This record gives sequence, C-alpha cells and structure tokens, in this order.
Amino acid sequence: MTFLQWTFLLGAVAVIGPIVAHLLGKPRFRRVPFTMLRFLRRGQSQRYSRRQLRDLLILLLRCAIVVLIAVLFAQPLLYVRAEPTKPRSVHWLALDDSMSMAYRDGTQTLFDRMIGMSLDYIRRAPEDATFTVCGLASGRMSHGLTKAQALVEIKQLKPLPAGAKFTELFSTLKQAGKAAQGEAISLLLLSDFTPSVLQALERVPAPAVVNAVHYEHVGPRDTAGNTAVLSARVSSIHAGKLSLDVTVCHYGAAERQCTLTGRSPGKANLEIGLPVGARHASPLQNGVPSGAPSVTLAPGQPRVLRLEMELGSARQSGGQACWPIELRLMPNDGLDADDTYRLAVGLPSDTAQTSIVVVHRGEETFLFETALQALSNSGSLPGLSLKKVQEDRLTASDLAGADIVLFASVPQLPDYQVGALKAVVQQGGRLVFFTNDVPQSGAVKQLWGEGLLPALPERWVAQTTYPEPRPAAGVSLDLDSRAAKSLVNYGVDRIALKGHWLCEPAAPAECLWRLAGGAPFIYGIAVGSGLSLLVNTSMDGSLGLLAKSPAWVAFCRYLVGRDDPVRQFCFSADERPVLHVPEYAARGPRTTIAVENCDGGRGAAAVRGNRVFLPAPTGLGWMKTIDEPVVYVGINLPSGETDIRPPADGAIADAVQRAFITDTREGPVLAQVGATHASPVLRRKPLWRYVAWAVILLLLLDAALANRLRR
Amino acid sequence: MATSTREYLDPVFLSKLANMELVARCAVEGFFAGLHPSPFQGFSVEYSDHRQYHPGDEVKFVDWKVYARSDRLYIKRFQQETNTTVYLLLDASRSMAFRGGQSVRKIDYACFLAAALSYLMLQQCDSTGLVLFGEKIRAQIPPASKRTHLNALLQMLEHVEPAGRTDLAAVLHAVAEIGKRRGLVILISDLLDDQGDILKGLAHLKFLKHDVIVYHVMDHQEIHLDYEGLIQFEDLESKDKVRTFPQSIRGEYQRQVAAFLQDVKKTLRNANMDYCLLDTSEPLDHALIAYLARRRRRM
Repeated sequence: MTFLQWTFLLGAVAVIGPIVAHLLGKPRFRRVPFTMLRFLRRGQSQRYSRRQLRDLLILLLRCAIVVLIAVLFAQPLLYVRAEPTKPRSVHWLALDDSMSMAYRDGTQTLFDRMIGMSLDYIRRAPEDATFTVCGLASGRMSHGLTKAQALVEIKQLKPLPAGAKFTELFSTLKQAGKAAQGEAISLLLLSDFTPSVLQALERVPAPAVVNAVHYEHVGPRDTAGNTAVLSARVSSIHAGKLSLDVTVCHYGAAERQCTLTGRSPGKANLEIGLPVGARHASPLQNGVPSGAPSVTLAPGQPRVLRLEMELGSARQSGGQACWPIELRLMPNDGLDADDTYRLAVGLPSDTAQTSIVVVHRGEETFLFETALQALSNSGSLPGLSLKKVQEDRLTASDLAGADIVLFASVPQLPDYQVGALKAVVQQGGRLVFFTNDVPQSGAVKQLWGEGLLPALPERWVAQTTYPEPRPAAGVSLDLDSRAAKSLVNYGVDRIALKGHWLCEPAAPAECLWRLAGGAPFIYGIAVGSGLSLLVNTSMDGSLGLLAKSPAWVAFCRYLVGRDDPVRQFCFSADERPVLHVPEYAARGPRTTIAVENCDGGRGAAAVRGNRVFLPAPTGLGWMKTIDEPVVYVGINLPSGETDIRPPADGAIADAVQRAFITDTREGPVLAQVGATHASPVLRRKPLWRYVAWAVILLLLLDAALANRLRR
Repeated sequence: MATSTREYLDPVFLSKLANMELVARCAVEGFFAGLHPSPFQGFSVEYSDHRQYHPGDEVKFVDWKVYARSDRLYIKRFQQETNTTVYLLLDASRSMAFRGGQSVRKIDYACFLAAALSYLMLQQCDSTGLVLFGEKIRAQIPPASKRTHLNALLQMLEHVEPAGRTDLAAVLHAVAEIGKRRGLVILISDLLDDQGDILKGLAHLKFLKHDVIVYHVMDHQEIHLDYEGLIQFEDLESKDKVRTFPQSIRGEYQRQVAAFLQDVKKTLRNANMDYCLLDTSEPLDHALIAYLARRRRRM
C-alpha cells in the first residue's frame, strides 16, 4: 500500500485526544438519598461491567475514526495483482488534433502518423470492442462506436488551430467510470506531448480512474526543429514611422538563418522595411532566395526583430481605421501555420495633439498642471495645449476644440455653456470633475440630470481612507490601462486620502474605482463617444499625500490619457476576440454589426459601448467587420502550438502517472502500439472510497453506542 | 367517591393543614362524606343524628315518626359502640424520611394515616394506643378510649422525626410482650428489614390472637424508579452508595420490587393478615377502606 499524501498520516497522532479524554473524563452525577439499594445493586453489577465494555468499545471506535480520517486524507492506494478476467472492453482514443500535429515530418505530418497508428490500433482490437474517440483540441467526442464506426470517425479528424485540452476528456472519463458496470476502460493517448500538452495534463484537477493507460509520443523524427513567429506588437510611432517588434523563435538543435518579410493583404503599394540588423547573406540553404536579407536564430532562444514602415503611405491608402499587416518567416519549415503572423494596427490621426482646458476658481490646480506638463514632456500627451480659465470667465470659445475639460470644482454653468460642454463630450472629448464643496445651484443638477456629471456630491466624510490597489475590473468604460498598471506599481492603496464625498450617482454611471471601505472613488459615464469622470475628492487638499507622491503623474495620466492611441488587433485562435473601437460607439445605439470570419463566412458581433464582441474564430487568418469603419483582426496560432521539441525523458510517464489511476481489473491486452514507447500498465487501486464509508459507518455506530450509554 | 371529597384525602393537601387534629378530622370526614350510602353507620343502638333519605337507603332505618310530623323522609343514624383495643405501630426509622419527587415524606404520610385512624377509632370508642419505633420502641402511648385521648395521640404524631435504623422483628416481639389484651395491631411501615424476621414478629402477634393489618408505605419512586441520568444513590440508613444510570436498570429494578411486594403480600395473606400497599402519591382512602373492612369483619 502507498499513500498519495502521506503527510496527513501524521494527523493520526490526534488519536491521543480521545484516549486522554477517556482517561481523564469523570462522569458527572447527582446525589439522591434512597432506601431500596439492595434492589439497585442486583442489576447494577452486570450493568456496570457491560457499561465498562461499552466505554472501551466506544473509545476504540473513536480512535479508529481518528486514524481512518487521517488515512482518508492521505489517500491510500493498494497495489493489487491484476486478475486475468476479461470484462467487456471499452477503448478510449484520446487523439491530439491540435495544430502542432500538422508538423510535416518527412513525407507525412505527425497527424497523419497518429491517424495511422489509431487505425492500426482499432483494427487489432477485438471484434466486440466498443470505442470512444476524443479529439483533444476540437473537443469532438463520439461514444459507443463499433470498430467500423470508429475507423470512419478517426478519418474525419483534422488538425485545428487550438491547443489540446483535457478538461472534457477527464470529466467524461469520470462519468463513464461511475456508470461502467462490468466494463474495462482502456485509454490510448496519442500526442506530440509538446510542453503545452504536458502542462494541460498536469493541470487536471483530479486523476481519472481507468483500467489501463497506453500512451505514445508522436514526435518528429528529424531534429531540424520548427521556426515560428511568436508575437508582434507596435513598438512606437516616431518621425512618421511605425516600428513593429516581432518575436521569432527557432526550436531546432542548431542555428538557422531566416528572413522575415511583411505585407498588407490587398495593399500592394505598402512596403514594410526589413528587420533592423538583418544582413545580406550569401546564398542560403533551405530555399531562401539568394541575396535576401536574413537573420540568424539561435536554437531555443526567442529573438525580437524590429520592422519599420513609413506611415505616410499607410494613411494615404484608404483612410481605414485598421491596417492589416501579415508577417512571414522564410524559409518554410514543417509547420506552415506558425510561419505567418497577422496583426491589425489601428493608427492614430496624424494631427494628434491634446487640448486641455482647466477650469478653476482659485489657484488650486498647480500640482495638476505640473503633472500634465511632465506627461507632455515624456511624450504621453503629444502636442499638449493647456489652457487655464477661471470658472466665471469661461466662454464657449474656450471649449471649442477642447479634447479634455477639467474642472477643479463642480461648476455652476449657465444653460448655453452646458450645451457647449455636451458638444465637447459627444464628439469624443472628456470631462473631468473634481469636488470641492456641495454644489447648491440648479445648474449643477441640470449637469447631473443630463448625464454630463456622473454623480452629485452630497456630503463630505472627513475620514482618512485609501484607494483600492487597482481600478475596478469588468466595467464597460476603459481609461488608460497602462496608467492603471503603473498606479498599481506605485502602491496607491498605501497612500492616504483625507476624505471623500458621498455622492448620488446618475443612473447609467459606473464606479470605475473604489476606496478601501467600498465607497466609490471615481465615477464614470459614457456620453456619445466621449466620457465624463468625477473624482469625489478635491484636487488640492483631499487627495492628500497622493497629490504629492510620485503616483500623482500616473494618476493624472489615468484621468486624461487616451488608452494606447495605436490599437492592435490580434488574437489566438482559441480565444474570443473583444475589440476596443470607440468609432462604433460614436455611430449611434447599434447592438450588432456584421463581420466576416476567417473562413469567409458571415456572422454578427455584439456592440456594447465602445467594445465589439466578435464571434469565435473559425480558423487562422483574418476576421473583419463589414460595416464601416472596417476593422481587421488577425487570428494566429496559440503560442503553445509552435514548440514541438520532444519532451525530456520520463516527463510523459510522470505526467500520465499523475493524471491517471489504473484500477485492478485489467482490461484485455491492448495491441502494442509503438513498441518503443509503450508505457507500463499501472495497477493501483484507490482505497479512499472504502475508507470514507468505513468512517461514516463508524460514526453512525459511535452515535448509536453513545446514545445507548446515556440510557 | 366524588372527586371533590377525595381532595381532602390527598396527602399533599393534608400536609398543608395546620395541625394533626385538623388533618385527622379532614381525612376521616372527607372520607365518609364521599361514601354514599354509608355502609358503616346505622347498625348500632346509640342514636347519633338524622339525615335526609336517599334512594337506596334501607327502608327499615326510615324514621316514620318524623315522616308523620313533617311529611319528609329521614334516616335515623346511630353511634357505634365497641370495646376493641387497637395498637398503632408507626415505623419512625430513617428510611421513612424518604421523599421522591412532589409527594410527601413517607413518615408524614404514615402520620396522617395514623392520625386519621386514631380519630376514626376513638370516634367509635375503641381503645387506641400508639407505638413509635425504629431499631427499638422509641415512645408509646397505652391504649385508651377517652375522647381526650386523641389529643395525646395527635401530639405525639405531630412531633415524630425519623431517626435510626429499622429492626422491625425486635419491635414486633416487644409489642407482643406489651399488648396483653388481644385486639387489632396496625403496623405502618416501609418493611425495609429482613422479610423472614418481619414475618416471625407478625406471627408472634398473630399467635397472641391479635388481628393484624400491615400498611406498607412506599414512595412512588421506590416502586417505579423514575429517575434519569447518572445518579449516586445513598442509603438513608446505612449510607451505602450505588452509582448507576437508573434508566438502564429500571426494568430489572421494577421486576424485583414487584416480586418483593408480591412475596410480602402472599406471605401475609397466608398468615391471615391484611396487607395494604400505600403509595405516598395516592390519597388515604385505600388505607381507611382497608381498616374499615377489617373492622367490620371483627364486628
């Protein structure tokens, strides 16, 4: 016998408890004067000895319960010799149909080899055998197949651009194990066992119980390895040039020379520069054109290559909101799917500048202006134009063309200025209100009623408080995400605020950030394509130490910054794309838009605020919205599918041993698949179910005996 | 017997009365008020009083002269006159101090019974004596039939306190020596002594031609053992201790007590003695009926 969690056996020491309690425990009694003791004594002697026996029995029971609970937690396993019985066999074939299996190894792909092995396995199985075929990446599962049906089902599988997942296999195996009566479940697991497959196998929550497990590593025979584009992102936009950082990796055993080229589908006039640092090499092997620029990739080490392109030609090419870029790595290797990477880039307007109007009543905005200037100097607010206006001198011309209007106090504006303010925010501008006092006039309520003011301050709470570590997640309004991340690094949850205002929020307003006690810190409300924010503290005093801390600049950037003016749209094939496209929010209250999927099929995407929820991708390639403005979305291979290096010795056996427990009843001897790597049959019987029943029975017995003793 | 009159025989009710005379009168008159028609009056010669005729009364006792004068039927009642000597033996050992639950102590119950019997007997002009005993005779009042004799009896009963162990056999032999004139011996005791010795003592009395009535006074708990939980029982006389769960031995205990009572009853009946088991939670009427039945047989 062995234990999975033997440390819990130490818990058996707790058996001392009932023994000590038994030795020290004295029954409590009351004294009663009586007369006829002679009649009491006659029944007493035999009762007393019985009672002592019961006491001892109950002590033993309780000790046994304590020990069994410790054993239960230790999860005992019993090694049992397999019996030669041959119950009805059910063969489960868990086949890895992830994209990494499409790696071409010589004349055929790994997937083809796996299918061939599966077909052999099925053909060699007994005639009356039943099969269950499970595609690990597709999640496709067919139960109760006959031999002929299983052969057909296997042939219908094809590699999909997704990683192998074991969740469904394990849940179905558990259900089958419970329902199986007189059936022996034999599992055959065929995969390339890439690191992502092994990780997925290790992440299964609890092992599955089967009668026998066989696995086979379907890996490449050559050691040339695979080269892949792992990711690409916009590095910067500077001097009219867009810089892309492209991460490539070579998984082979020796150095390899490659070329990286870029193009934009359907845009023949676009030119993408060559990787910085690439050199023209003499004629290369492996089909790379002679004279093409190339880079040398060391084995197993990701390398970042920078591509540059002129923005002028891109902007003249159609004025679309999104520019698709396809990056291709040459020469071809065994797996084509990871040699191409698709990235769509939403470019900012070329006249990018930020006009901020600060409306104040006194000299209370010094720290804020300083922070804005710092942001401008660092390039976070390009082309900053800062205008400072006293509240009672604010005119409509001050607001015209403003991107951001910031109020040091909730203003009491006349009707016509409210209209001008509304125009600013509806055109994509932003309003930011700080709170200095309780606004009294009806004009403020009009701002609040029209949804320009997210919340109406009502009462000051003079109590030191702290912001939560990070802004709220899951809200529909997005502020500057980079600024939010950097605020977390500053540890804003340890910076004291002097107090906050209790506010009455407008109906559609959301709380974007809370204080430690749960009170709202920042309210937000979407107005048209713009946004209005209320910080329920004053700018000068109530923010306390925050305004004087290094976090202050990041906090100001969070309030006024735009989230990544260069938007990038690329997703892996196994995730659901969600896009941040304010242009759609500006086009009125639409809830769906038409989209084209990777395979050319049409579908609908849901629009909520400035977010677009696309349908699940149907493959690798481009998805795009059909309605204007057209947004491209690049769908790429999941990162785990590119690394097809063979696993370390014993890694597969360890992972399989952890993930599966084999029962004592051995199924029929399976066909020997892949004689070189066939794993041994594991025969360990889990005992904890019996131990748990024993504990329950002993507890019931204990309760019955204890109850009997009281009589 | 009517419920309302039975209340006057309830030992708990009697224990609340001020003095023993009141107890005795209340018990006896309450007892007779419930009897209808009275079987114990009307057979003597000394006129007592009249009462209204009730259907069922014997016609021979109708006072026709009164009927002729008043046109109403009255029954003429007579006072009984006897010369029986009655010895009341009252066990005042420590075990008689037992009280279980809400009922009275056994000694109190026994005193009420003795008082009621004394009152009743002296009303009928019987000579009545009282013997208090424990291990030996602690006090005694010789038999007399004067009405004033009742005060002496009741005063002794009022101040009885249980003490000492029980040696019933020795006491019975002593009483046999004292009681020169044959009569009625009434033993009121819990009989917690050796059963053979008790029987020998009673046989001694029977040998001297005494009529014997044994009132066996027991508490409800002594018969049924209705205790719960772990209890240490301590003997009132010997101070012995037994710790047990009464609920676990109740059945066995009740069987043994029932066998003991049955044995006592059978033995006394065989010796032509009256036996009356009294539960202190029950009214006194059973005891009085037993006495009157024996008294009537002696007439």
